[in-house]
Amino acid sequence: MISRRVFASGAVGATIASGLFTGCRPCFSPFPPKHEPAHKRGPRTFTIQAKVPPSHFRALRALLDDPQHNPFQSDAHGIHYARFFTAGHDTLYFMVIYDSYWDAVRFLGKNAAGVDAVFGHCSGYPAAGAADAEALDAYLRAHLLCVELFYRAYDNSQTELRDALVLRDHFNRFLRAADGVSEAELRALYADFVHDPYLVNHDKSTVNDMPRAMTAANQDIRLTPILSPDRVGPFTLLARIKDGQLGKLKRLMQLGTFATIDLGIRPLKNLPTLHFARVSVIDDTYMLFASVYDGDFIQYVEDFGTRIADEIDKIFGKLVGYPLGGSRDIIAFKAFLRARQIKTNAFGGAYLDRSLLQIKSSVALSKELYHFTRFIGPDDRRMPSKLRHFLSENQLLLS
Amino acid sequence: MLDLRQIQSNVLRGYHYGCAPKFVHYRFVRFGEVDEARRLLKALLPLVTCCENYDGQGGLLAVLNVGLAYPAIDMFGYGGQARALDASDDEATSAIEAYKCGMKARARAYLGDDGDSDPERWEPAYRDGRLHAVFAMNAPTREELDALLAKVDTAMAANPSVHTVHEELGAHFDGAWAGKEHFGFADGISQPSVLDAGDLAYPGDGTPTKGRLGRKGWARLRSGEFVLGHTDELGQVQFRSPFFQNGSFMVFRKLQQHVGRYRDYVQSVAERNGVTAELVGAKMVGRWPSGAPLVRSPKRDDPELGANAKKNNDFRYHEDPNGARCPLGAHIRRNNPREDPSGPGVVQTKLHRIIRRATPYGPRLPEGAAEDGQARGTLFVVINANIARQFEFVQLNWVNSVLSSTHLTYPDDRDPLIGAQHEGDRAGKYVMQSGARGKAPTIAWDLPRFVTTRGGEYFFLPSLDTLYNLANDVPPPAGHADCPDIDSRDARPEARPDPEQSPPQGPPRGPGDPSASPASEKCVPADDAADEGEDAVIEVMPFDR
Repeated sequence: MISRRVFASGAVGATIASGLFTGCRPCFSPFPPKHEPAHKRGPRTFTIQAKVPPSHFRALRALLDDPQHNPFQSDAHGIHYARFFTAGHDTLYFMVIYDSYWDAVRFLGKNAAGVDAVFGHCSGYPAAGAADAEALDAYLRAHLLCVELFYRAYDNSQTELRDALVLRDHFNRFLRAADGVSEAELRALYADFVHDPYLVNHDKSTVNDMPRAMTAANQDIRLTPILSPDRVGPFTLLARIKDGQLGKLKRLMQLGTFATIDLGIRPLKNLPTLHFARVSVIDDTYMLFASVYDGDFIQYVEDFGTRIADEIDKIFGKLVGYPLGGSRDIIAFKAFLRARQIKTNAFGGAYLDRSLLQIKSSVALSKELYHFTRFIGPDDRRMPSKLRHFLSENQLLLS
Repeated sequence: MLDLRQIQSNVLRGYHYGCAPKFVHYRFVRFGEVDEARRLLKALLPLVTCCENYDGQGGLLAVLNVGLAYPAIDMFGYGGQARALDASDDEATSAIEAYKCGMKARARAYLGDDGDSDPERWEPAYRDGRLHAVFAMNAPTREELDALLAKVDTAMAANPSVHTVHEELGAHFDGAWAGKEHFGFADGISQPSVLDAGDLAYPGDGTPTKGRLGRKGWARLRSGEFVLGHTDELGQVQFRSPFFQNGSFMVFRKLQQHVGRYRDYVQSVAERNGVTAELVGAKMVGRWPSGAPLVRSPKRDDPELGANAKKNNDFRYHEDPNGARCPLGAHIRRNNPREDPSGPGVVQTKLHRIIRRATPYGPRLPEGAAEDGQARGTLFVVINANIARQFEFVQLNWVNSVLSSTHLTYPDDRDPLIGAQHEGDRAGKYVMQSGARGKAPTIAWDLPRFVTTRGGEYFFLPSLDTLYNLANDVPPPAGHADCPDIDSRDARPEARPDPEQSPPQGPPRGPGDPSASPASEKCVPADDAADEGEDAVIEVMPFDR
């Protein structure tokens, strides 16, 4: 029989030792973890907050509201969404969701003509404009607004998404052509499809057969402006935080009960139409909420009120004017959002005609297709029946 | 209990499968002088049928209902909304925008009317200028309808400034086609049952509930979803003012059906996949021609089930979560997703139910006959309390988009039967999921447009008291007269200043972000509306440091 003291010291020792060897740190361990957790791959974001002198504000608004002026006109490699908006008659905001920070800098540089005209109204903007990457970098870093909370519905880079979406279109075209043809024709069509350049290596386990450059197919990815009501659109909201609630709000967001990229509990995952959401606090007084969503605004509000009402109430409940009934009172909640919504003056995205569900199913389908085409060649004896099986198993990804 | 003496009969009566009056006549008029319009309403008032009259006659009489479009209400002095609305009607002021704008102004953005359905290609009566009113006449026999028509003619002849702009005639088919529409499917099953409406409720017509003792049941929808001034599914009472009380909104839509095109397409899909055309059609609708639901009878038509009103709608989609019986994108599954596990859920679905009233027009195309080029289709009427939240929402999000189901992912795939299909490269497809392991789903490619919009308008169906007040020029109750007009409220955001809660930018009741907000309850380009308020907004900006 071991004594209680020996048992206790053994337990403590084992816990500390496990921290040494496994790399996971018990909360009371004096030892730092063996390795820093690597950043999760996936889109990231920054928000620029730039002051606009009063004399320039009207001109800036006029420029942003001009339908002829699209600040995002040329290549937007590595950029998911970007938007400009103004608030408070003295501030310009620029938000961008990118794959890497330097993609964003490069993107601004390539769109210098459109972007300089906008940023030119802000004080402190480098004279050489966005073409001067170094000066631009310094300017951006000086004007970063802290993003307290960032939610993203997918972890794929922009080119991966583009590849998956194009691949799904190609696969549909293949199925369309193969509808009701003979087996020989089916094999011929399949042989063509197997060499589709968009079938990329998903698990990165082997050397990619296709040169990566081919997947770009020399197509520029441009940010396009808003298409139609039932497609992807931006929502921006600015509201005053209730007195004394700021600390609670910040802690809540840092805890990640709402949504952070590194926590498993993500209520926003329950929203089938929300691509991205960000929350910042401005001047310790206002909360800035910005999201990218699919479809109709009524649908968006109802999704909040019916699918994640509790979490929404926790965050938005800290704002002045939040309805007593919370987000379940859909009419009042909608009125609250509408009243505090601010106009997104310029918005562009790389795939605005694709819904979130389509993006997710395309990514899943392209993964399945990669594995299928890797193992089943066009000469496989049982290719037609295996293809039928494949379609049967993945039929929910096709609709 | 609803006041059935006040509610016009076409709001809550005679829309169920098999109950609809056989002959339907819609007369669209435009008023000239206000006094004559009032005199005409006065003359017609004794003929207007309420729900109680309808019940008293067992539905077997000629029925007249009067609907007024916004220009008519404006003409009678109730325009600008505010005088007719109660000051506390917050949501109503936005709900009424759709009605105020009219169908034509919102058709492209909200109803998917493009291409052949574009408002500019509508029939002249619906395209050129706003209609003022509709006289909807229903009767079980031709003679009774003619007798009613003669009375209306007499009343109109005495008031020459009211002129008939257009007339639509519809009649249900006889014999084997009784109760069916042109494509050959039983129509009018699965209507929402309304609480306190005093009619029969069939299983499946309401909202699915858990029920007592774990038994599953169907709850009736609250009456405020269809009758104004009553509690709706959100627990709110909108349109409290006496003017709107017991009224409802009616959407009229003339839908042309391309029957030959439909039959050819279904036949070609069936031949390519080695199934019957009837099955392909049923998979697109979600029901067999007899009305039997695929969820209940997946393999073959069951006329007995289709005819049984207690059973033909009593099903739930969790019995068929992957669409093996009733495909996920089928017409009935999109338009009423019930408690579909992949769908929007009960809580959302019950906010978007509509009462439909469809009457075929034009001659029936005999089986096997080639398309003869004759105009035929459906005179489609929707009853709802909030056009934007109910009819337009269904059209925008469920018929012409993919948000009804988390399994429907392709934005170009729309309702296979009534969706506004794209052409060319973006032509939609329709996936019929297979139930058998190893069997590929059947895909119908390049869906053409089977239904084209020929016109339509939004009407208000006033209560009998309101009609009386309009006819006799009874002024609106005091207290409403000085309520500011909603338009001017939009332009003057400081009308209700609240420095604590003011937004930093944009008028408090303004359309907000026009780009992000398709549902901004405006039919005018929202940019202009946002600009209007800019000068005034400076006073309420919070960032004055």
